[in-house]
This record gives sequence, C-alpha cells and structure tokens, in this order.
Amino acid sequence: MERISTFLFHQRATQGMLDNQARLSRTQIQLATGKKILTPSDDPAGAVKSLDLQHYLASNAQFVGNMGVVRTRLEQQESTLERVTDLLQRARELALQGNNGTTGQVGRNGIAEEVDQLLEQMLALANAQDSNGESLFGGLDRTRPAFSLAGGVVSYDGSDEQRQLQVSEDRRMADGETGRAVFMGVNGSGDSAFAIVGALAQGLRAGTDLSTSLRDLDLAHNQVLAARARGGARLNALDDLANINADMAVTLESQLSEIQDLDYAEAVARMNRQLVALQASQQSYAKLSQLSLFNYL
Amino acid sequence: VASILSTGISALTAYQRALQTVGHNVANADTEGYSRQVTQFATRAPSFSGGGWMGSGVQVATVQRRYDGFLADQVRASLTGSGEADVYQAYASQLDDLYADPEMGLDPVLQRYFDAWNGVANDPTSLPARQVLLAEAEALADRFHFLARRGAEIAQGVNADLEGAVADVNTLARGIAELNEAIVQAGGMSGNAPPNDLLDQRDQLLNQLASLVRVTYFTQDDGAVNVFIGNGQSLVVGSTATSLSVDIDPADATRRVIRYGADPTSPDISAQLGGGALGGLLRVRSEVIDPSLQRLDDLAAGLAAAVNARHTAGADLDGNSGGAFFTVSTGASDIALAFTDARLVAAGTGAGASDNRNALELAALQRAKVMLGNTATLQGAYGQIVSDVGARTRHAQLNAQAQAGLLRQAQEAHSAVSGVNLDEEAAKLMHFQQAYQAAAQVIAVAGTLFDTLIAAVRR
Repeated sequence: MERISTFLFHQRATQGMLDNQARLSRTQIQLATGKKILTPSDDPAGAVKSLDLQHYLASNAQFVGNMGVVRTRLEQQESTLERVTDLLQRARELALQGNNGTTGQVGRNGIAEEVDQLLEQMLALANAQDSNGESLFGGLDRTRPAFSLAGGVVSYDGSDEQRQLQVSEDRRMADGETGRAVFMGVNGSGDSAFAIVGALAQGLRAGTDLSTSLRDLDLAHNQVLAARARGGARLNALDDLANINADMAVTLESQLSEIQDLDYAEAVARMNRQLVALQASQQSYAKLSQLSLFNYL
Repeated sequence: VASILSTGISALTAYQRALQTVGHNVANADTEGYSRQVTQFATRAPSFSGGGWMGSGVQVATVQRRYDGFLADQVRASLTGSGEADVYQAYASQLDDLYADPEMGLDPVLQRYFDAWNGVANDPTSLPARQVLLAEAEALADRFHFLARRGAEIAQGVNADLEGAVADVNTLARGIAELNEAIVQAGGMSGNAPPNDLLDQRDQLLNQLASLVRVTYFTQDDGAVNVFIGNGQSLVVGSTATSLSVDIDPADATRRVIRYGADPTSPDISAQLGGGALGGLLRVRSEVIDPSLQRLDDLAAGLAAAVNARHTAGADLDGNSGGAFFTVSTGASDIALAFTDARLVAAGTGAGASDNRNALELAALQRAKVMLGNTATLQGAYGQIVSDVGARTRHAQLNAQAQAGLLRQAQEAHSAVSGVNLDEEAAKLMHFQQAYQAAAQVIAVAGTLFDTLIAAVRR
C-alpha cells in the first residue's frame, strides 16, 4: 500500500511547478537570444564546432579586407601603367615622326623637347605614391621615391622583392610590381625605359638613325604590358577568390546557424506546451490542496 | 462495578494518549526529519475470578516512530551523492559561463589581435595600424588577466566554501555527540522506551552531515551512534566529537587542506574525504578549476613563446632587429606587452621599411599549430579548454539530475513509511475520539450500575 506524506505531497507539487518554471524560463531565454546553445555545457561538441566556424568566418572576413587592399593597389598600378603605356606609345609615334626624312633638324629638335617632357612624366609616374604616401613600385622599400635621377641617369632605389599580402588561408598575393621589373633592364644591354626614352631625345637632337630607339621602345612597351598583364591576372584571381570566399562564407554561416541558432517554430510550440504544463500543475495543485478530511470534522 | 470503572478509565487514559500522539503528528506534519508516531495499545494484566480470566482494560504499551533504518540509510547515501554533484555542478557551471560568454571569453580578443597583425601586414609603415596592433595585444593580455583573476576568485570561493562546510561538519558532529548523550540518558530513565523525537533530531543531523561528507556509522547497544569519516577516522564516538580544521596547503598557498584535529600538526585527510559538499569541492577543484587555469597559463605562455620567437627574428620600422613582443613569467595572470613604441613592432625582415614579411608570419600564427605538442592552434587550444569545461559541466549537470532523482526516490520511499499524512491523522482523530466517547460511556454505565445498587440497598 502506497501512502504519501502530506509534506511530500506539497513538496512534490511545488517542485513540479518550479521545474516547469525553470524549463519555461530556459525556453524564454532561447527565444529572446535566438540561440539554441546558451552555454557550452548545453552541447560541448556543438559549442566547439561553432567556435571553429566563427574562427573561419572571422578569418574569411579578414581575407576579404586584405583582398580589398590588394585590389586597390593593383588597380592604382594598372591606371598608372596605362598612362606609362600611353607615354611610350606617344614616344614611338614621335620617333617615327623624327625618323621621317621630311622632318628637318629644327622639327627634330622640337620633337626632342616633347620627348624630354615624356621622360619627365614617366619618371613622375614611376615614382607614383599610394594613398599612404608609399611609392607604388618600391617593392619592400616604399618610404622613399622608387627612382632617382642623378647626372642624367635614372636609377632604381627600391627593393627587388614584391610585397605580398595574405588573401586566403594558403595564398599570398603581390600587391604590386617592383620598379625594376617594370622599367629596368629592357634591352640586351640592360638599359632602362628611361635610358631608352633619353636616348631617343639624344638621337633626335643628333640627327642619327632612330631604328634602335624604335626597337627598344617596343621592348619597353612590351615589358610594361607584361607587368600590366600580370596585374590583370592577379585582379582576375582576386575575383575568383572573392567568389570562393563568398560561397564559403554562405556555407559556413548556414552550418553555424544550424548548430547555434534556434528553430523558432519548434521553440514557440515548446513554450506553449510548457505554459500548458505549468498552468495545469498550478491549477491541479490549487484544487488538490483544498481537499482535506479536516474540512469535514 | 469498580473493575468496570477502572477498565473504562484505562481506556479513557489510553485514548487520550493516542489523541495526544495524533495531535503531535499533526503539529509536526511539516517538521523536517520528523517520523510519524503511533501509539501502541496492550491489554492490561487480566485477573482470575471464579469463572475465568477477566480482562481489566487497556494500557499504552509504547509510542513508536514509524521508521525504516534501511530506507534512512538510502536517503543518507543519496544525500552524499547529490550534495557532491550539486556543488560540483555549481562550480563547473561558473567556469562554463565564464569561458563561453562572447564578452568575457578569450576568443574574440584573440581574433582581433590576429586581425591587427593583418592590418600591419597590409600597411607595414602605417603607425596607426601598428598602434591598433599594440592596443589589441594589450586587450588580449587584459583578457588573460581577467580570466586568470576570475578563475582565482572561483578557486577562492571553493576555499571559503570548504571552510564553511568544515565548520558545519564540526557543529553537526558536536550536535550528534550531545544528542547521543541525551538519548542514552533518556533510554536509561524510561527502561529503553525509544525517545522518538531525539532520535529524529539525531537522524536529521546525520542527514545534514551526510550531505556534507561521506560518513559511515553504527549504533551501539546503549543507543549512541558512532560516526566515522575518511578511512575510518572517528568523528563522533558516544558523547565525544573530534573537530576537523581547514589549513593552508603547505605545497600551494592558494589551496586548502583538511586536517583531522584542530591544530596544524594534525594529519591531512583531504585525500581520503569524498562525497557530499566537501568531496564535491575538493573534486571540482582538482578536476575542473585547476586544470583549466593551468591550461590557460599554458596558452598564455605558448602564445608569448610563439609570438616572441617570430618577432625577435624580424626587424622594426627603423631596421633594428625585433625584441620580445610579450613578457610572461607565470602565465595568464602576468602576460604583458613588452613595449609601447609602435615603431618597435618588427613587421619586416630588414629588407626595407615597407617590408611586411614578418608581420605576415605573425598573422599566420593564427593558423599555426603551436600548442599542445604542435597539434593545435592557439584558438584550437582555447576551444579545447572551453569544450573540456563544457563537457565536464554537462556531465556534472546530468549527474546532479540523476542524483537528485535518486534522492527524491529515496526520500519518497522513506516518507511513505515515516511521513505524516493529514487525512490519515484526521481519520485517526475521529476514530480515537469515538473510542474515547465510548470509554466515557462505559464509565457512565458503571455510574448507573452503582446508582442502581445504592438505590436497591437504601430501600
């Protein structure tokens, strides 16, 4: 025969209500925060998995930022080198003009003046700075101008190594060409683009044959185009990486959401069930606790 | 006629006692540890007269508490289990909350620290980027300090609770010893009639003691109960109790040991104590709190070592070779930034001011497995602390729930025998009241018989 003490009856009923309230409160916090996992102990494995996913997402965001920096610099390089290409093309036109027998020495001298201007502009472009005031073409050494002019000779003062930035977990990408790769060592005798343009001006003034200059200008033009092509390829690669990154972020976000985010429909249904249970326990307790034999004495 | 009267009076007295016991039960329906009492009746010695043995009424044989020693033992064992599980769970949850909170945990600041290295790698000559790095590194060090301090506070909480629990054990042991004395005396006075209320009180103290630490006990023939702890050290023998004391651990001033005896030369029995709040405190300290703090220290030291090794291999903004980046001596509590001049951040390798190659490597440390014997990244190692504490807390919560369930079952079984049910008492009240009225009726009849006799004689 089961007998139950009055004390225990009250204790059990109260405990039941407290348990119901605790469950309800937990569901309420879940609904308020939108999170399934409130502390790691709710789901230790899930908590660690979500930490990992958050690392990946945060790193991903960082890589997106790094890519933005690389992209800005590559685009600036491209617009600078585009103008260098234009200058070299203009120099070539002028060389053809000067080589034409109909142009007299006076005309050639005038052309030489323009070529001098071109040389000056090209040097200015080669020393272009980014928004931080760093030389675009200095490689690892950008705090001073990449090129200097002394005694009519332009020399490269920057570093021969490209600066790279981290653009994905396992990929670093150069944020620009070195000045040497773009402007120096153009022809067989190792002349720079500046020396070639300078030689053109000299040739024009001296009235000599300009076919060597024309050939060298083509070489210089090609070298700059090659640098632009490499920059373009990097920009394309950045686009690819950005797409991969975005896809990855979507996948990771959805995984993270699956682990930590609350299923609202389920939680609301659960809360309703718990509310009913709490009300039932309160009402039944209120009714049952009125029953006592002493009421009839 | 006289014997009818005396029989009636015996019944009147007996039912009065029974009603008194019912009243006592009703009065103590909510008294914790109270066992309902039952008045047991016995017939009085019969007398032989002529035709046979004539009954001579009723007497109260004894008032007994309804009590099952086996069920009481089960309650005590469950109290020991749930006392331990509750404390363990409470402390593990504190750490669990600490490490998990995105505002308090290490994870977000570690991420921002590595982001700042990326910022320096993107713009190695930018002083603002370097300042951001130093600020984030300092925030990281501060977070380590905070976690170490909170951990130490939690450990201090354990110490304070240990002292409180030991003080309670001592008080309870003295209480049991005093009740032993009272029970032995009461038994002697009443010819071994059970002093029910004193027994209940002592059982209640034993319950409280059992929830603090695992005890063994047995009852002597004279009614005194002897209590033992640890490996059989006597806590209460008859009317004498031995005190425990809490002392600073000679090997580690942040820890406490429990000594068997009041003075500091008494033997340390911490390792032998288990169960109850005391056992839970000792166990959560050694299984959860200390290991997680140790791993946090390892993480701080590992971070400093990995960063410094790389940083000293680089060159700062002025081309000088880099110094240490972090200083650390014991671990999480004292990791600090080694310098405050942003120019000293060794972002390069000496190839020029815009050289970012060292910064790239320092940013890539985020993904390098430099912890736990080169098997985990820094964030991975922190994740392991979080998951380990989380898993232990989860286990502790489940265990606490299971123990609470066992305790509830044991208490229900015990209470089914010993608890007061007011409806039952109400029924007994009516029953004894009717019996009392019937006995009074017997006396009234005896009075009438007597009157009849007197009237007959007078005539």
